[in-house]
Amino acid sequence: MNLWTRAAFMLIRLHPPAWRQRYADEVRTLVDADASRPGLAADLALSALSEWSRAGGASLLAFGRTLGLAVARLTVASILSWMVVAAGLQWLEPPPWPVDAAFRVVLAGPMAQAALAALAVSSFEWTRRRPVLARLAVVAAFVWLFVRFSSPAGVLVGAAGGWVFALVILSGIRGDERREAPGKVFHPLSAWMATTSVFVLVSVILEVVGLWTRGHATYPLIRHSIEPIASLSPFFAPGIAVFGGACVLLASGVASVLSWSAIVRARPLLGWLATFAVCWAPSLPGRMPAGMIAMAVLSWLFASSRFDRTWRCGEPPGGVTAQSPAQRHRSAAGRALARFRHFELVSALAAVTIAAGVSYIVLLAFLHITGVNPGDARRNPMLIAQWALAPALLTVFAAVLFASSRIPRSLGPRVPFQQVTP
Amino acid sequence: VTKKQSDTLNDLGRFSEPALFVMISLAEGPKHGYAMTQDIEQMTGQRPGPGTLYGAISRLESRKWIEPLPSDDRRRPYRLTGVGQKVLRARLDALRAVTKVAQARLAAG
Repeated sequence: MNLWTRAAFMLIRLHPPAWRQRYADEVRTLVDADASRPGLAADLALSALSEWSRAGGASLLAFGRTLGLAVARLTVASILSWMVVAAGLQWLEPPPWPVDAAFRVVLAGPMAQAALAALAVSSFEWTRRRPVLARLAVVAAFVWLFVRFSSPAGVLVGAAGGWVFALVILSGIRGDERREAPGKVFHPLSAWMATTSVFVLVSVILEVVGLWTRGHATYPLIRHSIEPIASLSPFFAPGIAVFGGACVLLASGVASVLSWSAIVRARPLLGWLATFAVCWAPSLPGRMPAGMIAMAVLSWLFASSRFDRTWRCGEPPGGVTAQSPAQRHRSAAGRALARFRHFELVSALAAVTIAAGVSYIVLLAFLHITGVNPGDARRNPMLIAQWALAPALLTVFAAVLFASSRIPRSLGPRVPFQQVTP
Repeated sequence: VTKKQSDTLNDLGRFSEPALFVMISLAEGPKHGYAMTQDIEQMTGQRPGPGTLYGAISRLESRKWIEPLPSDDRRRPYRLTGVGQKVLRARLDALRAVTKVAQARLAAG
């Protein structure tokens, strides 16, 4: 074996693993049969470069596409869901901006109602059955969002930005409709990055715009719930803020992960219910670390849970089964229910009950310690909902994820998970 | 074969010409890599390197224009698929048209 043959064999090993696995033997046979020469080594060096750039480009493209789609879906879902509660909050408090009240009444009001009506339909239809309506809802939501949080001078700019953003997302959704089976397998890392980036993005936008236009926190919920308590007892204010922030952020982190999964796996109802909880994520100190840790842990739990594998069953690596979306949805729901053992169901229900009770007691204890009259607190239903339901949601989601993860099975004998072929 | 499909052969970049030669070689029947190399050398006078040859093969295979046949040997034979035949035919028609124009211009000049 001369120098050039050795170089050729070494250069074959420098090709991407997938290429080597597929073609290396054949190429070695060719090199063996061919007269060794410098040109052969140069040819293989060029080939290695070309294959690596091809593999790297394809991976980057796939990752970017996956991440973009996840971000688009979650952004749309979060904002639409948040919009529902934001509309409710508008009814609870008088318009804080007299200057641009006309804008909101004339432009944002009907648009919000139209978007809400479209949301009701699109939550069940999404892009599969009524794509035009769903897209209209998305566009309306974005325009409404930007108008809602823009100063009068920035309304046009904000609306234009909203349209551009919406168009970008719509192009992603259209691309998703055209995509084929391999792109449907989402990596948990992409989910985590998507949820994190969307959460940070939306929070930062809301906070910056809110502080810029009004000089205080964006979410009215915070002012109504946290600020009075904090003002009564400055000593406990940081603790309350961190505790509340951690609770709601954990809940919203779980909701984000679940909503990602649910929407990606064509489970609109579960997706909307989960993302509805995202709107309960107010801006509080200490929320970012809590949210990040929560999402990392929950993404890991999700990745090792049954749900991930359940939702991948309908889309094997070889391709999508030849079913209609409705059939796929039904069969996926059936498969999920079939896997949901009684033990987990009872545990989840018990966890909800216990968590709700404990959360309420904790809430009352905090109110007692901080000197707030519980009667005043009870007058604000959103306060109770925020403080009691967020930990409950967190508990139930975490319990379900934990019960379906690998951890309990590793602790004791359990019925082995059986993959049901679609 | 649509225009898009025939254009995709051009999209193979530096592998478009080797890919065309591979397809022409396989139009005769299934061949493994070494046989293709020899056939292309006889056809064009140039021997494609293994990297170039398998770069073209991998791209053609990913587009399902050629497909491997089962083999127990290290040398796996490939054959042209139905779509590959159509793509090749469309490409040759396009080349024929270009050649015709070029020859007419040379004759006129």
